[in-house]
Amino acid sequence: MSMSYDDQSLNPLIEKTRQFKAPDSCILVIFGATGDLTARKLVPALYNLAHAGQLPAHFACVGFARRDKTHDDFRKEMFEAVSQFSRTKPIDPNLWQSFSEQLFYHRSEFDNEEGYESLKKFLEQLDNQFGTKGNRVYYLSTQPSFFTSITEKLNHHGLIYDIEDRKKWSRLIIEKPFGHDLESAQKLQNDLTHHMDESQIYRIDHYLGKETVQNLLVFRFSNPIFESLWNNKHIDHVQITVSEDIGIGSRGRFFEEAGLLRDIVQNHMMQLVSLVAMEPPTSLYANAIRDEKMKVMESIRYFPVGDYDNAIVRGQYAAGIINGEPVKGYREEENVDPQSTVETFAAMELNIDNWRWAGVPFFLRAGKRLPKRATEISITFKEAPGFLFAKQTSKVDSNILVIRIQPDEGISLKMNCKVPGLSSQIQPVKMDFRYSTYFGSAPPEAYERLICDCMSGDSTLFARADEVLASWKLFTPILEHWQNTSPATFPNYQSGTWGPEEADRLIEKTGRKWRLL
Amino acid sequence: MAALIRVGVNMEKEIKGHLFNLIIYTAEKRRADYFEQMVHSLIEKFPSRVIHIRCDKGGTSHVKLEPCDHRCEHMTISSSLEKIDEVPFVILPHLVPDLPIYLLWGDDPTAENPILSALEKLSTRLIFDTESAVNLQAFAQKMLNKVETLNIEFMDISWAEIAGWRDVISQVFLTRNQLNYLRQCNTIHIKYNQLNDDFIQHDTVQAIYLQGWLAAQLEWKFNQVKEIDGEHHIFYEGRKVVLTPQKRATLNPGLIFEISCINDEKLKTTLTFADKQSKVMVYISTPDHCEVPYSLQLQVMQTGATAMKEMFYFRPSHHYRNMLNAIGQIPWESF
Repeated sequence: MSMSYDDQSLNPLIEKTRQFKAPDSCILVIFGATGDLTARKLVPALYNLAHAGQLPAHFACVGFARRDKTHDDFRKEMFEAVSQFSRTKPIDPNLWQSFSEQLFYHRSEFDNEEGYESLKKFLEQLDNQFGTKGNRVYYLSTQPSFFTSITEKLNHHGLIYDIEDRKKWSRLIIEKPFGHDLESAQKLQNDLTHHMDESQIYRIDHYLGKETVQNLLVFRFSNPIFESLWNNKHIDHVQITVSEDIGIGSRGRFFEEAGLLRDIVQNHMMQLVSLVAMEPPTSLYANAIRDEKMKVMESIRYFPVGDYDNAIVRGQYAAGIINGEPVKGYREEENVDPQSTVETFAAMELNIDNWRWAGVPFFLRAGKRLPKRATEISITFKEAPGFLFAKQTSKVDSNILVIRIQPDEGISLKMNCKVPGLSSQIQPVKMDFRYSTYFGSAPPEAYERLICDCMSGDSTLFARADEVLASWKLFTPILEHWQNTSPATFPNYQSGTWGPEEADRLIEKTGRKWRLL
Repeated sequence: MAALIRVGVNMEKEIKGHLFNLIIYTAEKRRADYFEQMVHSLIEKFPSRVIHIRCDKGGTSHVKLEPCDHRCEHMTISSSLEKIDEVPFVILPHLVPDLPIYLLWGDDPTAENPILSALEKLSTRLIFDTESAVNLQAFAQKMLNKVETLNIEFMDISWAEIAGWRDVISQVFLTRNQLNYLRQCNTIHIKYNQLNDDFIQHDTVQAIYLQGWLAAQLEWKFNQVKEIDGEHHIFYEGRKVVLTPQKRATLNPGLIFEISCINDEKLKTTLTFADKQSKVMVYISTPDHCEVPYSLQLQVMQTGATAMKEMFYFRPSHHYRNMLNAIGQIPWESF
């Protein structure tokens, strides 16, 4: 076996300034390969990586699922999927030809011992064929109930290697949800780490793979003008909104189990909170960044026991109108209990008890069937003393910095300006940076970046266990409270509105308002 | 001249986003047309202010400014040699403030030019063009001097053009064993596309740069260079590099399309560019055994985004300096 340069700076042909991710040779095994995620996201992401030359030179992908099909059947299905969902179109027939020759299918039940034994042999055969050196990425795109048993079987059949093994490696990518409350997340963590090391586990949160979320670190720490204002002396409050105009679609069964707090807030939104609020890391290495995010999580004040209903608002959408079209209420959706008390909206105020953020509330709101699709972070700065302009205006608007995560990715800054002319009227105006205007082409999909990072052994953009557990610790009491107390007024907001009135009251009692997006 | 500046300023009525300023200086029509073509794909994707200075060395005394597109994002200043020192004054009011200024210098940097020093001072990054060099050895030595004394960033188009090959080679010879094998190879053969067109005359430059990079990084000692039947044979201690021109109509002039190396045990590695797929196929064989070939993506600097990344964002490392040092020792008769 060839010895690799552990420190690539020892190889005189490597140029440090070129800073490429170097995904290592490997086989990617997707468990649940006949599912939606594989077709819509994973295989298109692999194809786009191949298109960009970012797949390892020695690579193969094996779909593992229960349905009976041949390699060719799988390739044909994936061709349809890539044709439909790839961001690069049209499909390059030459590229597809060589890419599809690296795609395989392995049929087995997830709990079948023989299936894993034959998988092992098959992967060894592919190692010989493709020179993939025994390296493995296992992507668990299955129901969470299979996470532990698949990991246990992989380990039992020698498919997970000791981290001390310097010749080959194995990594596990795990999709959300990571548990459904603190206890189950802890159990899952214990079960997984019984079979593998924490450093081998990559908990995917696709928000972290988005360009605009990655830009948060660059924006904050390469622009001292903002970072010097990024504290309670200058910032009045922060709002984070994840708004979707779509309903739950065909995910009724899943959503009845999960609800919005588990689906969006506990993972994606808390990642955004920690990136906005974290201190500068000592380096850009994974653990340096994750340590700082974790400190934020540890500083978030728990919701006041006995006052949960005032601290966090839940909502459920009724029928209404979106984009001029009438839409159903949540309880009328497919596979949803007509008396369901599952939340499709949540709004809350978080307080971060540390030196930087003391006294600065973070208002979070997320919901389905709101008027538009928008994810953004807004930083509202403190007002200027108003006495100078008291004659011109009753109130000088605050400066607001908005970081738009999706769609229309970009950053804007609202400021005040004199209206031209003899009078001295004041008018707020916006400086607006749009990614699409400046950088044109569509950025890579989150899954491309994250899969490539995992193959390169870079866990920076994956959630660490302690972050996930800290988030569950914050929200589990709320989830338990909601489970034990039925909401009196569900459904409490009409589709196409910005959520229930209680959400407005939550912020208005502090003298502030939700931004109108 | 004041009237000239006013005309230009009045042309800018819209407020637009810009990523950078790009000043192009060319003294030869063939390079002017080549850069026009290259820049076109760039500005189609990225909003930028492009100012093209064309020096008409034999023309009558004049300086003329004209917009090249209706949005005035692209303007051309044509000037006679006699009036060339007025050009920086014409440019100044048209630069978009606070954004990087890239100066693409399409002339031989070894030749004296009154405006290079003036434009250098304005620039964030200087981009040199080997194609405009008259003497490659002198060019390399001059560049080496500039690299060591300039306080601004720089790039070399030919260096940017072989970036894809450098990446591929460093991936193919990644491990200690693979690199040891490369060190032991006694013959390295580089084939490139000999297809002089209206734009390119020096089609050997990319191949020379690539072998120079290998020689510098692997510390080969230069002995002599010979031209035999149109091939360059470069002899280093213990090994020979052969640069072979071949015609490939579908490829850009000068593009490298095959690299092979072989050691005393006849273990041969061949990297072949499959242009339709933008891939390099890697074949490893001995006379009686061959491994399963594999492929790597080759970034070819054709599209706007790739050209922009390579020319404007990447910084040449000490590898570039080493390469200049290596090729600057060799008396190239033709390139």
